[in-house]
Amino acid sequence: MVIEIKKLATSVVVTRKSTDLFTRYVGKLLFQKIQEKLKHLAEHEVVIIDFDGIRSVDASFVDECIVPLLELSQTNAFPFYIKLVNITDNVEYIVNQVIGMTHDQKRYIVMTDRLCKNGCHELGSISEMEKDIIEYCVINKQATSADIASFMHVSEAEARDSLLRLYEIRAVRKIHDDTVFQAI
Amino acid sequence: MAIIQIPDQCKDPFSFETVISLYQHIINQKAEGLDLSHVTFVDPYSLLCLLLIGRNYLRLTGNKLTLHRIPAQILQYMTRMDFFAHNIVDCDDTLEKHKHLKRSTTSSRLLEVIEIPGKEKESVRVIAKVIATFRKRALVILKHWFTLTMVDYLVTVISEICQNIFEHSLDSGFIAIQSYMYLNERIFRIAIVDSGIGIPGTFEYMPEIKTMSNAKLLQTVLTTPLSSKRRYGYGLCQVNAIMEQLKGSIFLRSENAYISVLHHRRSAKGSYIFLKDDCPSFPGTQFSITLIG
Repeated sequence: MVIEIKKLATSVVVTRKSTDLFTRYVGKLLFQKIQEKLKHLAEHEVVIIDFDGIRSVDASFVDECIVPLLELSQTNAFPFYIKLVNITDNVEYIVNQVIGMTHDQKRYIVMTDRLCKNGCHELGSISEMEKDIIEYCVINKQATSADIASFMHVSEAEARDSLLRLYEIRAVRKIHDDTVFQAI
Repeated sequence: MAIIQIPDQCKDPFSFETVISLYQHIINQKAEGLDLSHVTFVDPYSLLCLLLIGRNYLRLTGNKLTLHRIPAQILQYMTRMDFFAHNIVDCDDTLEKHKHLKRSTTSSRLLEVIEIPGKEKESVRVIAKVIATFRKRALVILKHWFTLTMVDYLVTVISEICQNIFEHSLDSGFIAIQSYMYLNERIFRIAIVDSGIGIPGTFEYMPEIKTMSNAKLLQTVLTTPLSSKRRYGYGLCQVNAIMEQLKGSIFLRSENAYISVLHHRRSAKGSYIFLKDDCPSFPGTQFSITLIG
């Protein structure tokens, strides 16, 4: 599912002609609109949030729109995944800062379509090992715990634990097969 | 009732501390007005703080403060900035129509004084307007600094600070933006002020914060993800991080303390963060965001 956030923003009076998404108020409104669209979501679907036409956001917007969306992807009855595309440097920076903060032991990672300033395709609070695993998946499209074990020089059990942790925060996909993990 | 002389200290946030030291005197003496005849220059921060002094005076006494003997170029500037349009202070001088500064959109190096309401919905609408106008004029205002990314970051800064007004201050506030030359330096300044409960007031109910000095608290809100309300209290912290990237400076004043963070001096070995407690008391929170060079 592709959600063009600029199109959604045109239905909100204050952001109708704007290239910027700001304030908690706008964040809440857009999250509600995205939630309505998610009713038609299939299991394991990747929800692409397209930021084309949006220049900047602020922390309040991310806090009210992107963070709840990531939270929902982790807690929803069936799993789905979020990917941000066509983001500017500003959007990358603010999203990374906000979701990079851990809160109440909660952790969020979001995938993007570009190589970000942190040298990988994901934003948020992430360890070097996790970065390498996700990037391996991005390059190879998918990976098994055996692949990761061999790539990272760790035991298969350790690799599998890491992959499962990344799946729980929806940074990699696991569809039917418990052994194969796919890039988002 | 007396007319109080305002010294020529309206040039930047530091010099304006001298004027703030007269604030209690202005209120307690129920001054009839302020004499601006010695003032040679007013920066956007000082302009907005003068407006706050006038508004506090109006709220406390029920009367408008009158500005007397304003030098012609200062009156022109104040009129151009819509200082008197808010109907908060009076002026005993009138500016003839032909002396009004032109309002050309192609040469607009400023954003006039705009009130940020204290209620969420109205405020969001005004912030949208401020940001749209700033984007429209950015090429001229930020002539010497302009990149699209720079504008994007400054939009985030404006939006974050303006939101704090309705989220935390329990009052309305004002914003003004301008770029200008002062002492051979190019200066871009965003001033955002309110006269609400101030940052110490916002954190009154957090015991771990209460023991800090006010200046230390201002430093904490700029450097630590901390919020009295938000789940992710990152607003001011983010403003500071962005200004670090842009090598700008922040002056933040609240109640009786201020902090000045000079990121453009960070590469040098000396200090770049300055804290001051025990300043003259002035209600609310006042921001000055500056790019120099």
